[in-house]
Amino acid sequence: MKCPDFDRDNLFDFDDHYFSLMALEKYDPKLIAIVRQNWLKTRQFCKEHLAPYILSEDKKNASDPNHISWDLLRLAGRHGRLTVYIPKFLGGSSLGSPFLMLPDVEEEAAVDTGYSGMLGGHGLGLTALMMSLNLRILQQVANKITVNEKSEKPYVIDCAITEPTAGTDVEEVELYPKARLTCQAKKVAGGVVLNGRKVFISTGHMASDHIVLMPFDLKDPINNYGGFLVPGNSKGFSLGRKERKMGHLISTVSELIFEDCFVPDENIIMSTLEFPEFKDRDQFQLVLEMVLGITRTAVGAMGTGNARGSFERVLALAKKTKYRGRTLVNQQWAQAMLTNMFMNAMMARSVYLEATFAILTNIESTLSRSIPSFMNTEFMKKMFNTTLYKKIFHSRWLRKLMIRRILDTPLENRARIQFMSSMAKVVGSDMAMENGHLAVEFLSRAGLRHDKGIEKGFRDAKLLQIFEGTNQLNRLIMFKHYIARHIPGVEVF
Amino acid sequence: MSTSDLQPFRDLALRFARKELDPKAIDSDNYPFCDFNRGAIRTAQEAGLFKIMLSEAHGGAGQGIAALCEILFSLAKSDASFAAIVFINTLSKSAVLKWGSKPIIERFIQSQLIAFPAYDLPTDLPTDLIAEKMGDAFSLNGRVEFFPLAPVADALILPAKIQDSEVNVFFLIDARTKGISIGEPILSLGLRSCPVSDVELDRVETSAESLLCKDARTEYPALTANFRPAVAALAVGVLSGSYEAAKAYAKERFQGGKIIVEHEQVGLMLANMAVLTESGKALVQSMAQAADEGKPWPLSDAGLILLTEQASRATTDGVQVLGGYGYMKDYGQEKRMRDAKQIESIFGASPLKRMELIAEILRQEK
Repeated sequence: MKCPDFDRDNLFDFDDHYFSLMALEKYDPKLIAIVRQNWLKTRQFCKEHLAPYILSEDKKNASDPNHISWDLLRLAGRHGRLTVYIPKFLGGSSLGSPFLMLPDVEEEAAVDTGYSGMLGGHGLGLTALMMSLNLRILQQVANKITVNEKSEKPYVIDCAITEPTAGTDVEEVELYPKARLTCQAKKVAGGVVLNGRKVFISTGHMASDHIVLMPFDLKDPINNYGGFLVPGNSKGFSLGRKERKMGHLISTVSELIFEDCFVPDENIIMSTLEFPEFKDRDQFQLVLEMVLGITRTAVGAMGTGNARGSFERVLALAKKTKYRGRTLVNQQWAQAMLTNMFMNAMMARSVYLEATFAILTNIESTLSRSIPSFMNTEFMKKMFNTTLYKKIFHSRWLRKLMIRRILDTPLENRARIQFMSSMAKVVGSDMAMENGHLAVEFLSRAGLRHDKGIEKGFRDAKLLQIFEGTNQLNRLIMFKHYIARHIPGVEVF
Repeated sequence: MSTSDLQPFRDLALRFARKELDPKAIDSDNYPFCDFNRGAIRTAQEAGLFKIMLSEAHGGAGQGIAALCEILFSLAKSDASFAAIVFINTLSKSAVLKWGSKPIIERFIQSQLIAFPAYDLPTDLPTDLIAEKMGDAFSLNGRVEFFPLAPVADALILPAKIQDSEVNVFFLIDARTKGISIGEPILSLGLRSCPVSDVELDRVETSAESLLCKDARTEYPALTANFRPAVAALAVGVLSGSYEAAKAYAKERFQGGKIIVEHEQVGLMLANMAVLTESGKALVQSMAQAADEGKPWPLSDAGLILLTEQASRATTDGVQVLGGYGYMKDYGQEKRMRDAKQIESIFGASPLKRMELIAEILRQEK
């Protein structure tokens, strides 16, 4: 039976895929219109501007391990991609749906998962800044990103958590007491001194400044934690090697070295020394949970994009490849295999969208909703830069209020965000890896050569199962936050 | 994985791998962005690794598939790319011996490397190269895609179709023949230092003598049936290397207050790798024995599918055990994952191999 010939360029159109968002349109037409508009912009950028460079940049990085894809960072900057998640009142271009931006991430990852990784460190840094509720530093960083976005050296940041001997352990609060941490911050007059080595830091070699998390006390790290903005030119700070890895080649992954690196008080983003009254209220735990809750959901979207990209590329080649004289798409086994790949992408998307809704419905904070339109304007940006507003928004009083408010988030709400975001991450990355395997198996020869782009999807997919907590750790996190809640006394980790 | 009479071959390969492959495997994987490891090829040649299956008259060891599997397994544990070179070259030399005339054999059998289209499904050979008959000779026009060893070979065994017919044949031609242009080495997913390129042929004139196999459609599948255990040996070799590396790391690395091998999720991944490695070794041995006894079907076909598919999945877990370090080039674990995936495509795409298997089973039952 023949099928009508639709325009296949529109494969994975919004209307074919985001049914839950479209259902929401009934209740909040404006919000979903914004999501759709963002998505269209991203899709256009990816197709017209990003896609042509992807394979050549990947190859450049493969041939020269010291290559850094500045061209792609500049491309992203020229097209306003570095400020796209920063709200307008802070100088960015976000249309106002910070928590419903994941379809954009999926779109980017579908074209190049490495590209979404390249900006992943930047996004992680921004997320950490937002969750720290330090509006002063957030505004300062956001300004630098905006001002330099279209320059020859765009300003981006990264976020340093992982240490050489502690990967999984620093991705889950309960494992901190067991972690073999070596990095340590020491409070001195006028600032802090940082020492140690951070590894596998995404965006590291591209970042101008670095968001660095380190404890003050290695014996009780979780209750003595700090976050710092470390300028790239700080004395005692240096970049170590750029890692050589299997995929995500355009994304630099770096070693950061701190040797008696002094950071002034004004660059302390958050610290358990700041509000002693919150000390026993797991402030750091909450920030870490929130950051990972958001970024793990984003990894789910990256996985979905990767899985989808593999499918799209395979389909394009299947239309031209023959087996025993017949085109692959006309053969039943091929149709079933392609459909499996399609289903994998759809399943992964369902979970990350559901996780997004879990975040939206479980954080009691203005940050969780779409930003009210009166806030998200050029006028408010100007207001925010006046001394009076700065005085209010940067005040200790407001910061304390916001922290208390977020600390008051009930434990069940926090747990829901945790297990859903872990699930988005595991399902998304597993589906990406599965589709990577299927894609190479499906095409064999064409799947193996770099110039067809299929094998790149396979190489890129693997990282998603590892970073932001291995999928093994994330399974235990889901157990802890969902199943264990119903079994009093059960031991986890 | 061997019986004791194969022990010398295993020892030979292990000694060679330890000395020549282990120190360089990760660096030479940068090919095509570094030089091809000619040195190791020469040393292997001197050690006789390329001549295991050649008769003693040709200076070989006169061994069968079992000895070849033994060697490939041990080499692939250290560097699957190099093992793949040995595999493809042994396959091409066997083709020369099986199908070549006396002068052709004399001329080519001592060549260092002969390219062979090992990534193609034996029953569905590519037809982009057309051979036009011109009196006694042929004129070859067209291309062969993703042709392993082409960038470094002295001679090529080219799959072609006779013009205006449905007949598939092979030609054996010197790589420097006028009209042959060998493309830039292709950057591939795995087996990177087993070079691959596209080859274009423009009015390449060749004598009838170089027509190696007059009916590739029936004769080639029979030849590959014997070599399927060898591909399975490559897969199990890589898997075994990945398993050993993962196990060693898991015994060293602390996470969550204990060495990670004590985390049961890690233990289970290692157990799965152990299950496949141990049973894989035994299966390869049975496959090789069946091939050497002249009855490879159906065990070789079935075993090849099972082991190459499973090895590619399990080496993915081999990376997972090492976490972030597994994804970095330094530990060689990501290379094994890529190599295993590429090995899965030797002799064609995996789903097609399955369809050919069941088609053949049904044909024989008729």
